[in-house]
Amino acid sequence: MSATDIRTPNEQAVEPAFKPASPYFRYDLLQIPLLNAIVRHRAFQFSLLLVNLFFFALVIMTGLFGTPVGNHNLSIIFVWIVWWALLIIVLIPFAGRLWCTMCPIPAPGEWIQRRLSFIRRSNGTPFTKGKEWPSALRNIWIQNFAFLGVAMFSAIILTLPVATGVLLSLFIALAIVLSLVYKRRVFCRYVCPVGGFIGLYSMVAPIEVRVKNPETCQRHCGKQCIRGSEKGYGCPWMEYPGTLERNAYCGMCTECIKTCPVNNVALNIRPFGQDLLVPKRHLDEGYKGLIMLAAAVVYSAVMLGPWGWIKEAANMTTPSHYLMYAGSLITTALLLVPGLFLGFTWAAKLLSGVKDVSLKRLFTGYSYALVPMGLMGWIAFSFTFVFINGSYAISVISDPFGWGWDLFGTKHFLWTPVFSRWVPFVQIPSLLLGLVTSIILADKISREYFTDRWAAQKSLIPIALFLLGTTFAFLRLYMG
Amino acid sequence: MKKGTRWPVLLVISLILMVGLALVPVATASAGVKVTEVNVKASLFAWDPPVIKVHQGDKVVLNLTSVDIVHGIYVDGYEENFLITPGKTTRVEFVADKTGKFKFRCSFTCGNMHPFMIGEMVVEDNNNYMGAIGLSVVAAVGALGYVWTRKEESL
Repeated sequence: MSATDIRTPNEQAVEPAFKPASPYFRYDLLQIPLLNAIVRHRAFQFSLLLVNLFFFALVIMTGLFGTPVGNHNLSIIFVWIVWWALLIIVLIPFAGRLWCTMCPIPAPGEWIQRRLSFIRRSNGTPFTKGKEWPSALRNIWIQNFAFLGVAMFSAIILTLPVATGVLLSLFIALAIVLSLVYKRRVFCRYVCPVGGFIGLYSMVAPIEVRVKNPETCQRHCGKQCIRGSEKGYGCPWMEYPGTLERNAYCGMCTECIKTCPVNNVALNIRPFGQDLLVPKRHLDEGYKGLIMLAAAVVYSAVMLGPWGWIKEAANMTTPSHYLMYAGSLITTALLLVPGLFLGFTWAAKLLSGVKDVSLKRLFTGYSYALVPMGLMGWIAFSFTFVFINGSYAISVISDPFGWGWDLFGTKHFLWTPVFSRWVPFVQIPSLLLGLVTSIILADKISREYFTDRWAAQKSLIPIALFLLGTTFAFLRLYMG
Repeated sequence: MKKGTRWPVLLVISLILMVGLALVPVATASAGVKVTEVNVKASLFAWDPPVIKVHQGDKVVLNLTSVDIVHGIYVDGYEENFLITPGKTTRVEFVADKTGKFKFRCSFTCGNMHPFMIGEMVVEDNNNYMGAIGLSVVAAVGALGYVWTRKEESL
C-alpha cells in the first residue's frame, strides 16, 4: 500500500478534540459482524466504485451520444432526478458523505495516482508530482465559486444531455489531472462543487467515522491511518482520524477503519446534527451555507416559478438577458443574501448589548444555523422533481439513449405525475422542521458567544426572524 | 413570570395567532359561483398569463392557444391533461373545487426547458398558504419559547 509523505500528525493535530459537555449517544455499527467484515474488506469501496463507474460511463455516453431531448435521455433523468433526489433527500441527511464513498468521479484519478506512484522514470523520480495543495487554498472557497459556476449554467446543464455529459467528463478529467499533480484526493477535498455542500450538510447526518478513544491515538505512534499500511491507504482526504470531530471532510472511504492496528476507529450512528455543535466555525463554510440557501430560493423561483422571462434568460436564449440572470444569481448568492444576513447579525449583536464579540465572528457562527434550513429547503425543492417528473425514469431505463430501444418493456410508460396535489403538504413539514431545528441550533450557537443568557436570548430574535423570513419566501414560492 | 410558566403561555399565544391567521381569508371570502374564462397563450417556455386567480367553486374555462409549437397542459391536483396545437383553441372546463395554488405545466415535450414550463392557478381563498404561514409563525415562536424556557444546559 502507498506510504507517501504527508503532513505529520502534529501538524494536523494541533487542536485538542472538542469534548461535548453532554456526550451523545453512539452505537458502533462495526459491532455487527457482517457489516464489520464487509467494511474492512478491500473490495468494499472498490465494488461500489466499480458499479457506479459503469453507470457514470453510461451517463456520459448517453449524454454525449443520446437524444438531445432531456426527458428521454438517461443522463438527465438519472443524474438530475434520481441521483439528485437520492442524494439530497436520503443520502446526505441520513448517511452524510456516503455518496463520497462510492462517487466514481475521483476513482480513475486515484487509481492512476496510486499505481503511478510505484512506477519511476529512468531518472528515479515518480510519474506523479505528489505536490502539496497550497496552504492558502486549504478551505472551501474554490468549492463555493465552483458551485456558483455550475449554478450559472444550471438551466442548460439540467436540461441538455450533452451539457451534463460534458460537465461530468470535465469533472473526471480535472480529478485525474489534480491526482497526477497533487497528493491524494485534492479534487474531492478542495475543488468538487458538489463535495462542498455535501460536506456542509453531512454534519447533520446521524452517522460518523470517529475514533473510539482519542487518547489511544495520542499514545499510538504508528499513525497508519494517515501513513497507510499493508491493510489500506493513508487517509485520502488528508484528515487525521485521531482529531476528527466533524463529517465535513471525512469521505467515509473506510481506509482508517482498515488500517488502524489497534481497532480504534468506529462507524457510529448518533443523534442528528451533532457536528454543528462543534465550535469550529469558518467563514468559507458559513458562506457555503448562505450560498446554498440563496441558491435554493433562486432555483425555486427560476425552475418552479411561473416567470417565463426568467426561464428564457436562464436558458441563454438571449446573451444580454443571460448575463443579467447570471449576474443576478451571483449577486444574490454572494452579496444580497449574505448582506441581508449580515444586517440581521448586526441587529443580533446590537440587541445583545455585548461589545466584545466581533460582528465577523458572530456572522460566521450564526451562519451555521442556516444549515438545517438550507438542507430542508433543498429537500422541499427536490420533492417536486420526484413526484412530478420521477416517472420519466421508468421509460428511460428501457431506452437510455432515446434511440427507440425497449430493453425492459417500459419505453412507452407515459409521464405520470404522482401526488401532485400533495407536494406542498410534504414541503410544509420539511420547511417547518428546518425552521425549528435552525432556531434551536442558533440558540446553542448563541451560547458559544454570549455568557450572559439574557444577551444570548435577545440576540436570537433577529436570527429567528431571518429564518422565518426565509421560510416565508419558500412558502410564497410553493404555495402563495 | 416564572420560567416554567412561559412555555404554555407562548404556546397559547401562538395557537391564537395561528388560528387567527388561518381565519382571516375565510372572513373575507366572496360568496357565489361564477364562470371565470381565461384566454391562455402557451409559448416556449412560458404561459401568458403566468398566474390565473379564481375563487373556490368557480367554473374555470381555459381557452388555450399555442403561439409556436405543440404544447400540453396538466393542472396539478386537478389532473387535467390536454394538448394545445398551434392554430386551434383548446377549451378546458372544470370546477375549481379545491383551494390553494396549483401549478399547471406543459405536458407535451416542447424543448429543453419543457419540465420548467410552469404556470400557476391560485384558487382563493388560499387558506393552505395562510395556514402554512401561521404554522411557521407558531413553529418559530414555539422554538423560541422552547429554547428560552428550557433549563440551562451546555452544548
